Amino acid sequence: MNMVFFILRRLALAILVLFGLSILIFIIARVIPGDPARMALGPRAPEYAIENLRKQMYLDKPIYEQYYIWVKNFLTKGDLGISLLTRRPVQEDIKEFFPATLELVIVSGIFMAVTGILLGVVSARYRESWVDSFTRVLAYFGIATPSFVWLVLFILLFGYVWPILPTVGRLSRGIMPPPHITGMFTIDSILTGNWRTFWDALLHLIMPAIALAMGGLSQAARITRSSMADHMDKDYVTLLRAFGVPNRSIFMKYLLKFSLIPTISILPLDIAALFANGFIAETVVNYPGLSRYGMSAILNKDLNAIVGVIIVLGAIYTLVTILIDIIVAYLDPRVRLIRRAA
Amino acid sequence: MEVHKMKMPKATDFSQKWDNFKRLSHKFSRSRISLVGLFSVVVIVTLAIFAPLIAPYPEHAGAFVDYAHASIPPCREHLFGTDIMGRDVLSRTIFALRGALLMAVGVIGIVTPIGVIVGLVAGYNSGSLIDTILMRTSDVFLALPSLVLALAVAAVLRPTLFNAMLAVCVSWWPWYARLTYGLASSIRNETFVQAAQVIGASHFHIIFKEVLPNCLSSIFTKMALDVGWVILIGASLSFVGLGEQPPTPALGTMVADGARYLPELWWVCVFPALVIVWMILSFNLFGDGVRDALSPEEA
Amino acid sequence: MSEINLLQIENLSVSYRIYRGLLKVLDGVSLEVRPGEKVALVGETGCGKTTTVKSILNILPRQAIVHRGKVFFKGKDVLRASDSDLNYLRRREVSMIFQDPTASLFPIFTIGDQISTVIKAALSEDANNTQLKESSLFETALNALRAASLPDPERILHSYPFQLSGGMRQRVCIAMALATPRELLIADEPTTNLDVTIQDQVLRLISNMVAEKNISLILITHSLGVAREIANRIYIMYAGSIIEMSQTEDLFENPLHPYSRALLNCVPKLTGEGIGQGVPGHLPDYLNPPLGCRFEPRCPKSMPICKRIKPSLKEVAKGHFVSCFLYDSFGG
Repeated sequence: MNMVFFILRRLALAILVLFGLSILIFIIARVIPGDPARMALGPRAPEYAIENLRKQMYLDKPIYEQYYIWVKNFLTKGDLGISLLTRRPVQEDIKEFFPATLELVIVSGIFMAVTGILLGVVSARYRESWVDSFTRVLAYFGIATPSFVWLVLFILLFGYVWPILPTVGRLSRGIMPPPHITGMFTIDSILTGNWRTFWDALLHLIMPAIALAMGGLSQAARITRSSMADHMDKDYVTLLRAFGVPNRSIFMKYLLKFSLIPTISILPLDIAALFANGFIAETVVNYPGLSRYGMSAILNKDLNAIVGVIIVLGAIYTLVTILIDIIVAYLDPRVRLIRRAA
Repeated sequence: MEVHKMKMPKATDFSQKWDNFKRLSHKFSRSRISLVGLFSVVVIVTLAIFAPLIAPYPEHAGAFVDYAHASIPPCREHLFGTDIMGRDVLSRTIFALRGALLMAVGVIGIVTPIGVIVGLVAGYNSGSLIDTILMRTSDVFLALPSLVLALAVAAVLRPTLFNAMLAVCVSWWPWYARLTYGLASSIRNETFVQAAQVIGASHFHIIFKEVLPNCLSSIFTKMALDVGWVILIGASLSFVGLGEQPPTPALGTMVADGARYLPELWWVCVFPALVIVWMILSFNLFGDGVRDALSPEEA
Repeated sequence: MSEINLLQIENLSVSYRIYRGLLKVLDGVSLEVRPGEKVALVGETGCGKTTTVKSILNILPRQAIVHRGKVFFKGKDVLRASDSDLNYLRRREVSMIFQDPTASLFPIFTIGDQISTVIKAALSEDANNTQLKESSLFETALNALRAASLPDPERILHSYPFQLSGGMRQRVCIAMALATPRELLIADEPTTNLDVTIQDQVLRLISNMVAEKNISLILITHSLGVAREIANRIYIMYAGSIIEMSQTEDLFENPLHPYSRALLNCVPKLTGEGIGQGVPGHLPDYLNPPLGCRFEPRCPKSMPICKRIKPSLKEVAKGHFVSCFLYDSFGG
């Protein structure tokens, strides 16, 4: 019962926050120097066309009215306006591009979590050995290197020096995308038994996914290692050793649960980084995802698209954060059961 | 029995502060890695400050073109080679350090006071309306990944270094507010704060003389650790063109420009990229050292 | 001699590696326990009692270095034992109750989880035992908790440590230690972190359970009063060496070492003689311990030879050993 209340409260707060976010972004997007209508139509467009567009985009109305119109459209029809670049409804664009980004983030996230945690465990178990030192050095570099640097490095190494990985897009030329079930090529190809497509899609994902994952991976490894190392010398572990409990059990069951808590608490930040750095990564490899769409919207001052993308991202990010809070509460009974003075 | 006359030092006694500093420095220098970081940071800062004197071709950092010497791979005259406009990559890289450092100093300098004050006020009035308003507001800014918000803000403003700084500030301040809020709201319940309230100290006094000093070490730690992050975000922003504009060199911009000429002119892209990594790594190591020095002593 | 004794520690010297150097904590400790005996190891905080007993299970921390010495359990040297021998020792022969029950239990796992893990480890040594099923583990755990006089054991198995009181937590640890058959139980200051009102209960519990199952006991305590109640034989330890050992009553009738005398003076007496002065001074700096007797700086009866040479443990009366030049006429 406690749990349900907890979740509801967080959701309510999240919605409030998202509203605030929409206001913030709306204001920022509207209060810009320059005239979006003029920019969309180009410098040689006739005055009346610009005026028309401005009326269409409600730019002549006061800002709070613009916001009200926007909210009304969004909540009643799911209408986020028309994109200046693609001339299509923004929600259509988002629906089209979202699965690609989702796919990238999922693959990247899984790789990051699994590899990071495993490295951390191994590092802690063989403390002070060469494995440990190597991992720690790698982790340092992993954190200090922006993902676009990794990406550029990967492209250089695996795209040109040993050209084994594709550097552009989601699928190679000549390969048809699989039938649209989820929109995620890897899953859809598995579901329809299209192995060649699956493999091709996966290859295209490898470089951006790993480049994006490096930062979070290193964080996860470091945190797991240090958390385990912190607890390894504690009395409760000594007790388990004193009773002859096998090492495997101590590490993989007991210590790991402890270490998962801080690791998972950091996950929101890392997932945020995935989405955020995805903005850059998708642009570099020309990956047709939501982030690249958002990036070009930002660079071209496509107002409706900017607001739309930001809201969607904000919502996803907030949901993920809540999910993680729930998982943490599940893992650490102290959080769940001890009543906190809110 | 002897009566020892005790000298009671004031908290603001300079010699005690110096003692504190010495103790912290000693703790800091216990870790060799942190010392490496410190040394590296000093090198970077020196290069940045004395760029015009150290860079071999300082004029290349401005509007300079020399097609006769364009696209030269690394050699003795040009350790990092030249780009397609004939500019010495090494010199431009050294000058680019300035922008990165300025960004870091500027952002942290602005964000810390604002965030800390918000956090203090909210934490001190924990549970009240002020708290809710302030913290929910900061939550709004946190609803998006920092980079995304920074990108959005930077994109709607004209691309300059100052605006990029502003953009990062907008997305960064809530972290300090949150940190301070967490600390302040728990310190507020400590007995010494209640004691001060009972004596009748003013709110101002309590916040700034009782609560704040206990938050300082965490705040300083965060500041030291954040320098690397801000540099990273700055590089990401300039990578997509939102930062200093040409001809002023910026590390991210150089990597982006150079990426177009991969793999033939690899040096134009790779060296600035390595320098980015070196910068961030150095500040991270330095920040780790600060954190270890300021953390409570363990047995 | 080592065949009769269950446990025989011979001349154990252990140091801890710290940043500033070596902490030479244990300086030649010898100790023995016979089957069915109850032995107390008494000394002030920091004198090396825990280090001594941790060596019995070979669970010394990473920074510990064993310079010399042997720890024989049933004739086998624990410090040089093979992994399988060590496992057998820890799972079937010796168990330990730690000083701080709050620190010894995993806060994020249920009591039941931790007890079952321990029982499972113990039972895994039995090749014939295929009863590692959940239900039988559960049963064994329940019985263990009942034996430790814990009310409502089912609820406890599903609880987390922070939901129990300090006294209950320690009883859980006792239950864990005695859940499966053992030959030796080590209790490291089991009541120090508990309320005074609970201390007596817990001590009685340990004493009774040990007597019932005919297990040998090493009880570490800093209270001579507790030692007197529970133990047959008492070792008094100071700064890493045994300075006196005798049968319980002998010690109280005739304490020999100046330190023991001072300790006894600290115990309030019913005859109302008042509480003694305590022992001024503190333990030596283990980084640079004195070359001679480690108690000498605090000793009211110190002699020049005490500074130069360390006295060894000699039998001065029947079954009464002491390490002090006051009684060692052949010292030098």
